[in-house]
Amino acid sequence: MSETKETKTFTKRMITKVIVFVVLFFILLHTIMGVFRIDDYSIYSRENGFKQERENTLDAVFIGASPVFSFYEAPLAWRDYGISVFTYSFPSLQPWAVKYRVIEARKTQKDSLYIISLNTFKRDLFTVQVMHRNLDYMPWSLNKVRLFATLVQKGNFSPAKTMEFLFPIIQFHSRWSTMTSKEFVHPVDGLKGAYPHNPFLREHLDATGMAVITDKRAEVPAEQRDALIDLMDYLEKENIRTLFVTSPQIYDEETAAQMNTLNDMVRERGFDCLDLDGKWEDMDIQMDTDIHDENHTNIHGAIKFTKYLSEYLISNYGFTDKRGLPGWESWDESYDKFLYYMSPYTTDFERDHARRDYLLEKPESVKASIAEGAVRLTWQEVKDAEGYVIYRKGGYLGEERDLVFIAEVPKGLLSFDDTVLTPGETYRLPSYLSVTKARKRSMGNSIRKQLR
Amino acid sequence: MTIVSLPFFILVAATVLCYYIVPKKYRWLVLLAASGLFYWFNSGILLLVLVTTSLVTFLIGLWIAKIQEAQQKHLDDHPDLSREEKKKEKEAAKKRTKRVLLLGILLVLGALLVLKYANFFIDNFNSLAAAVHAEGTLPRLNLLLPLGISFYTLQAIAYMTDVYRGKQKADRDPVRFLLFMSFFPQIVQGPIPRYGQLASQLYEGHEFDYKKLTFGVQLMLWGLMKKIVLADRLAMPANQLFGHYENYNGPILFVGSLLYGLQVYCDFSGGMDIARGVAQMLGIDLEKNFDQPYFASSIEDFWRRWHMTMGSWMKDYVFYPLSLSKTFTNLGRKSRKVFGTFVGKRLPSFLAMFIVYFLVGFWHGPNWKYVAFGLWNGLFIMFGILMENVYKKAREKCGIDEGSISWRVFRMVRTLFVVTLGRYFSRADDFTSAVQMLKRTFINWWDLSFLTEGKLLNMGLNNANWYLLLAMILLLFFVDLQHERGISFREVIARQSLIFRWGIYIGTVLFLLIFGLYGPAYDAAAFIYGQF
Repeated sequence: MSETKETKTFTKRMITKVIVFVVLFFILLHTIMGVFRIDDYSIYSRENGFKQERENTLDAVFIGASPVFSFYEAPLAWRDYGISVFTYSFPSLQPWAVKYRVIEARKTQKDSLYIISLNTFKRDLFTVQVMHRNLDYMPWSLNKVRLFATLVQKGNFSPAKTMEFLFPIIQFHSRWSTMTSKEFVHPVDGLKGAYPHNPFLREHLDATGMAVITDKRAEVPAEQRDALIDLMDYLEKENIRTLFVTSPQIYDEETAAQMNTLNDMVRERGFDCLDLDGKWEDMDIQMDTDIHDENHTNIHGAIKFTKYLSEYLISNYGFTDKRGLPGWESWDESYDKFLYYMSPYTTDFERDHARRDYLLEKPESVKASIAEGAVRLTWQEVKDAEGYVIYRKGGYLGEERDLVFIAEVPKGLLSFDDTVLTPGETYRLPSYLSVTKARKRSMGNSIRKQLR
Repeated sequence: MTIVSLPFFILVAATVLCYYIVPKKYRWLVLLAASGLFYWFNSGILLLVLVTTSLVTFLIGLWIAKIQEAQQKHLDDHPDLSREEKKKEKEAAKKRTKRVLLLGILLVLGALLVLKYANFFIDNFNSLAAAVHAEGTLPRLNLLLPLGISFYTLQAIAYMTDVYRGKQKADRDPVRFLLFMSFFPQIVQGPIPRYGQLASQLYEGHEFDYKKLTFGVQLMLWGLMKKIVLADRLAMPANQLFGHYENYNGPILFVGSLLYGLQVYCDFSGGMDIARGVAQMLGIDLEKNFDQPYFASSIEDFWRRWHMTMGSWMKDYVFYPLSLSKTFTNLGRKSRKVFGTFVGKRLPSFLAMFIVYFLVGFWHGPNWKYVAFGLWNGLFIMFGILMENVYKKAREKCGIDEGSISWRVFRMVRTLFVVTLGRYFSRADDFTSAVQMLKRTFINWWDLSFLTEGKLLNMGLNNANWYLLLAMILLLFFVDLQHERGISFREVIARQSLIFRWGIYIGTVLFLLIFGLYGPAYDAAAFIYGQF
């Protein structure tokens, strides 16, 4: 009897040990696998940067392959119009993968407009690199497994090859001997999906006379057509607000005719559709200076396309200006960051043309000092300011909270006592000071103070 | 499905799980199913060759046993037979069983000779015909080589011979016997099992033993480490040097052969560790095939420690039957008269040894270079025996203490030197290339500039990989040294705390995942001995 009891205890202990061991092993394996993936950190940044956006806050999510982030630069749209359009797009995105990308994006951004680049459906390419680009950085979920299964089936990959796509370490562990510290720690670039790749920004192709414009229609290859139908079925079923956009590209006549057919398919199903194919002049895109290659613009073309599409979105979907509003600091920063990459290749006018009607200067020298039961904020006067808005970021250390409006003070006052505090308790008081003039705001300046 | 592939590990995991789940009496069926699957995935329809060989071997064993039983029954039924008559009966039966055994050997060996060596014979015949200006050539055959045929052929011959010799009872169950012939961990590259040692272990259902399971896993991981971290990495410079030897002169070629020797050792012994580890997880002990061969003090000692199961097979089924045969005994008598006692006494065993090493070489592959490789080793052993007395006197004169470490190290290095030169024959593309390489090694034999000129970095391994390789060779040396001293690492690990043990397990797997050469980024070499 006691022997049976002992055996049972032993078995239970053994099972527990096995479970703990397996869990521990997979945690470590997952960590290691996070290092050995395809060496393309812009994908990593786009994937993780998107997850860092506050839930249900984005105006739009722009999904497609590389043309999306070569044509449309989200930080520029923010700078000029204050709209948040995240380019959740990936190089070589497979037509079949678009649906799964929408599903993935909707996990955190349910209410956004989904802009789908129809150019993504113009070709259907399955290579090992394409598979890794589509899968490696996507977080593990049932959705990823489904995407994986679809791509493997559509791409007719052998089972031996398949494992490599699920576990990219099989393909990329050989990089260990050439690795740098960058591989282990990659901060998210904060560019909202923009692509800071030098050649994309810098180089140009003289494409004068290369563009083919046609009214013809041509049959779209079955796989691409089916992938689009599959996506539209899903969008319709989930009742997702969608806009299909075709960026102007340089095709042969056959592909141009196929793009027309794809646009017809979308229109016939009743989706919003913006076909910009061949409309280079409408956007003022110069064929000799603004094109990078047949499929992509360079930074000059991107600035023009971004302006055109942003204005279209504002007038058709009512996106509002959120610049200077609390909670959008990372978008303010995204332009500063992108400016760093685009500056060497752009003119002063391109960099600053939107600042003509842009905002006031940031308030400088914001300081916080502890007064009796309060935190006193002081700052220097800002030229032309009509008032100052004060926000507080509540919560304890390490806890992220939204900014809370505290007060608005008129011009002339250059200090404010934040008194809604309980003495004796520890607060983190990152406050945020923004300057107002009429309906415009400056980008704010923040300060943190801990009160005991 | 190689034994370092993911499907193999899935098969192993599934087999282990099923093995301990099903009732004991059916466990051997799990092993048979796993073996069938493994062979089918690797060789497809060539599974039929293995099944046919097994069936032939089984039937021959049974036939021999029937003759022996009939003879025994006859003797039992006729107790009144005189001694002479009994002897006569026995001799007649033995003659019949011998004929059946020879038929069996002819059949299984014939399959090996046809499938593996037919083109070798055809090529040699054609070359000979060309040499004598004969017209016409024999066409080469397009034959597929069944996986592990060199190994299971020897296994089959050993079984039939053991039954013939009365050392082993014949198996009565052809399906179970198929398991003995096809047991999946060892089918690719051995160890070459004996029926008496393995069969009963396969047939009986083993109790789950946690210690055996963990020890098996550890052995498997160590084998994998040797194979995919060391052997495949060593293969890169070795392939470069042997493949382009005409670009090199001097000791760098010797280094290439040294690296190749290590590669073969890690590859083959790594494969053995995986096979033995998998078997151990199932409660089955396979024979040891390596005993730290690079610590050998002589070539003879080296071959006692290297591919031990083939060495003992050659000893039991070739060397002794030959050297104790009437022909060889008579030859000994005659040679003593001609060459004197010292040489004459040794001549028959030298001849048997010559045949053994010829066969060892030939077994490795259908190429004269392998024969040269076998004979290189055999001749050094014979030379050593002949010079034994001279060496002894020289040692005494020089006052060398045979127990001293320096002497032991000297012998080890000397053995390594000869073995490494012998590897030229087994690795070079052909016999002529091996001879050319040997010549080139001793041109500028003092030139060590390859160590400083960065030549080693042009052989597929960058600095980091060379450092890793060196570190791993040192680890291998350390582990083998402990084994040589009789210390079992697995026992040492078993005594450690849970955290340490888990650290070792998880750390090793992750180490293998990162530093192992596998996957599409590498052209992973197949197990070298799987080809033999």
